[in-house]
Amino acid sequence: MIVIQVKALYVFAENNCLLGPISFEIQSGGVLIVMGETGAGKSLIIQAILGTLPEPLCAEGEIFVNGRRIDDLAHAERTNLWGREIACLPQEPWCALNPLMASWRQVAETYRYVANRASRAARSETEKRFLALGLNSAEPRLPGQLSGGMAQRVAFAAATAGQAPILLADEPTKGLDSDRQARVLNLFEHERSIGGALLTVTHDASVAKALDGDIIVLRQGQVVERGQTENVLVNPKADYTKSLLAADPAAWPKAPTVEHGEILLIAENIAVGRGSQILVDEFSLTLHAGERVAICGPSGIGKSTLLDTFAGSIKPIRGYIKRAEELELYSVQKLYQDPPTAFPKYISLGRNLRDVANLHRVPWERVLAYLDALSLHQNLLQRRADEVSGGELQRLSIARALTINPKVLLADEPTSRLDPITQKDTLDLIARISSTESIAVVLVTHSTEIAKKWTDNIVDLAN
Amino acid sequence: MAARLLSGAQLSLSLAVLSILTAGIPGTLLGILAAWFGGLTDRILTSFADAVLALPGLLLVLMLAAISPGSWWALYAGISLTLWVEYFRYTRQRARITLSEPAIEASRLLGLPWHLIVLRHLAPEIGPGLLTVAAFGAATAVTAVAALGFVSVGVRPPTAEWGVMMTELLPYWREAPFLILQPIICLVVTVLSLHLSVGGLRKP
Amino acid sequence: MLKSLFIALAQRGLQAFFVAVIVGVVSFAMMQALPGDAAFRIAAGRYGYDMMDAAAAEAVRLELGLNRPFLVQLRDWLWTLAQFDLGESFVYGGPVSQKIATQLGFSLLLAAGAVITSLLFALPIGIAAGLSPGGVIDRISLAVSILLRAIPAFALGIVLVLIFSVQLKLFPVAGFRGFSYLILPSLTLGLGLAAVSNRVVRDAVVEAMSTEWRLFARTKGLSANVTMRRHVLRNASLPVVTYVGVQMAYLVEGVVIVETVFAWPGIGHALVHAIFARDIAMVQGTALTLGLIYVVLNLVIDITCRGIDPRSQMT
Repeated sequence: MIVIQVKALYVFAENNCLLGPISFEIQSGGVLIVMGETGAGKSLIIQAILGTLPEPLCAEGEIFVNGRRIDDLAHAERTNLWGREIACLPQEPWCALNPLMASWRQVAETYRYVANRASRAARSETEKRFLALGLNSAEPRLPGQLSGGMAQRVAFAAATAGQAPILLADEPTKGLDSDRQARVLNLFEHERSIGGALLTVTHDASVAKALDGDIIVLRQGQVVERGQTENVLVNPKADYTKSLLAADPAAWPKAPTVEHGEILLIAENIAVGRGSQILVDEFSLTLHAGERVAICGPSGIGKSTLLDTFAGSIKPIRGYIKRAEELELYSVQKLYQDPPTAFPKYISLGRNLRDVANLHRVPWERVLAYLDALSLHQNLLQRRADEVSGGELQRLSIARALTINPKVLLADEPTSRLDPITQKDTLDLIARISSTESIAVVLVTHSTEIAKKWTDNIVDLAN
Repeated sequence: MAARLLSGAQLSLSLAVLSILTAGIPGTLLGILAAWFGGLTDRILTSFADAVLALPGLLLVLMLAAISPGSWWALYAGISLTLWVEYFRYTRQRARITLSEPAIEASRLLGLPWHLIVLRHLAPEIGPGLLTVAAFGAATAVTAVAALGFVSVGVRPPTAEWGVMMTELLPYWREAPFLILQPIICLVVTVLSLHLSVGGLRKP
Repeated sequence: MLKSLFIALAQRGLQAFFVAVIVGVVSFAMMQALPGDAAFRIAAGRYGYDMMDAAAAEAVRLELGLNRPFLVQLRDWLWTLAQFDLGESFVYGGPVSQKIATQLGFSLLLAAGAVITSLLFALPIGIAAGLSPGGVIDRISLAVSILLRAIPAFALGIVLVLIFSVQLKLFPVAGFRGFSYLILPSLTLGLGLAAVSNRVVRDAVVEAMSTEWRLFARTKGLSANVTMRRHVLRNASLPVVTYVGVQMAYLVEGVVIVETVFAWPGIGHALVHAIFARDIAMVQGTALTLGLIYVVLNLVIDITCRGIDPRSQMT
């Protein structure tokens, strides 16, 4: 039985076509995965089905739910479908939960007002659901006190309590580590087994691999390739699909072992933290020229604090860090998670680079040569940081660091805000520079997969 | 009447400009200092600001002006002392946020000196908001002068000042309501233009 | 949780201390700055110029200890204050605390009237404007708010008197002899407060309406009404209450000025009158009371904010 059917769907922003044409149908118990990079228009599909496209955007085409056409319904009638016929799992569960309301209340109110249970019944249903999802003890907590995985499950419980047969999920695994990812995907499998239809959009090939169904690969609003997951993922036809799949860290080639140079930095039994709170204790590391180290572990464990301590921005609480003599004052440079925050907000990138070059008496031609080597166009220099894409900006910050001949590069999740393909290119670039310029790189990442592929020298703070 | 209204305008505005200068410059500099050094410097400066803020601004101006009623200088000193805190708090808060951004750490690692950090990061961040604080501060000063004149604590008759004029004209409101409206309209238009010049209803 | 409550209490306690020191020192400075011989002035104030002579001035000088060294006087002045002894009025002769006790009630009545009036305007207008940003109500309320914000409280008071008392003869002009006397002063102060707070309500509602959690509450199936009641209004009330705290300074300032306009028998009017008459004991007493009320109101807002924000109780 076809639960949801979409015929020739387009999304327009005034006269610009952002998405389409796209057509698909999902059977009861079926799965459709829409895969593509940020900006490919994946989320627009979900918004068009729900009827929540933001102001200037409008959708064209036909959408049927259980055989009934819904795209031409009045807004009030469409909102009646929400929670009852179509459930939607939000992209950022933390932001989607009311920060001032206890978790259980946000689930119970769906039972109460959507499934129309009496308030006592709603409460006991909620308790059962929390237990089934492994959320016991989370009931009274506010969203701010939940971990990412728990918030995701609370949002899932709240969204599905109305027992809608169709589930739309927007990047359901964003920011979750592999264990928690598997947990979310299990929930989806369960929904399917009771006859639900699932539409999920993702940039993550591993999600597509774990779910068995139909897949549509989307690029800039256009369908690049479609078919059964096992066919498309194993035997991709389109070049774009191939590079998208190759960008999945699981598919990366193993990095070759690199030769070490002289010792640059020694950390001996240091304890680091913010204020007096110790996050990492008894940590030791010897860093050699040209060496690549990855520090991984879940968020909040103290990875970034450790990096700040290496950079000299904060002092270790105990222990000491010894710098080699040839390490000059400015030989340690840093790359940041959110590239725009690493540049001045109000002046051009060129002004910033010139300041650095003038200060260290580096000829401007050399700066331009670095830009060239990192395939950055010179006209980027006239723009400000917020007018340049994240990938370009991250390369620009690498170029800025290279200008002053660093010996150590500290990279704090430098690619976590970038698209998979850009992520792979950037990390490849950092690895290449590390070996050609003999720079030691410390990479902080929350993904053990990336760490494993990028270097054989891993420090896992979780253990 | 028109001549008195004009000389009232001159008095209000010159006092407003003067107090913006004497409150704004130290307020802004101290705000940056407190954010930059943090620690004890920050704590001392902030406590001083808190002490000034312990009383509502107008009440403090009223008390200070009352030490020597009718004196222009007491009024000016009171308004400046009350207003500097606005600049201090605004600058300190914005500068703290800006200075904690990765861009500052990056600049320090790259070796950029403090004056470039102030010039490239702090100045463009704080500047526009400072203008708003100044315009609202000027409006507060103009209002305070008139309020104190009205309750006979600020400048004294026969000096032409809008608040004083309102008090003088108050007994005749039945016979000539339009007379008393004149200084009121002057005051409101001045304050309104100051507010609108920075396009806002609220302080940053 | 108790620890942070204790910190909040300690901060307000420190503020109260600052208030006392500032008021004490300024009052003392006022004393020193009295033109001519302070004792003569006070005696004249007390007995009238005709009845006053050198002997009366001498009596006042001894009574108030005006013949001692400067720092000793300042120390004694502050020490007396620290013992909660506000002294006797220079002009009326009776204890200051007694006068203030009767005035305080009137001032609090006016303040309460003003806050209630402001909420009566700000809440419905702010919510209506926030629900359709850029709409007619939003634009009109913005224009009126900007205008009202530019009219100082005393000028607004005069204008309201001209309209409602002199022209329409709806309300009495000044003084206090019944409920109808409360309306115009409350309206004057309340409109001034509402001029800004209705925009705060509006912004809070706009902000809450555009959040992801509001949209999620809708997409999980809650109706517009339930979402409004359980999510939007509840969350929007937090910044609004916080802002009422910010407005306490305006309220206390407004009480001083508006009481003078309407000859309201409260503390603010008494303060202004005492400054005019150089009744320094009264100045000190009333200013101190106003300052401390300000501290207490701030504390009440602190505690209310903690009460409605569950986050403060969990950490």
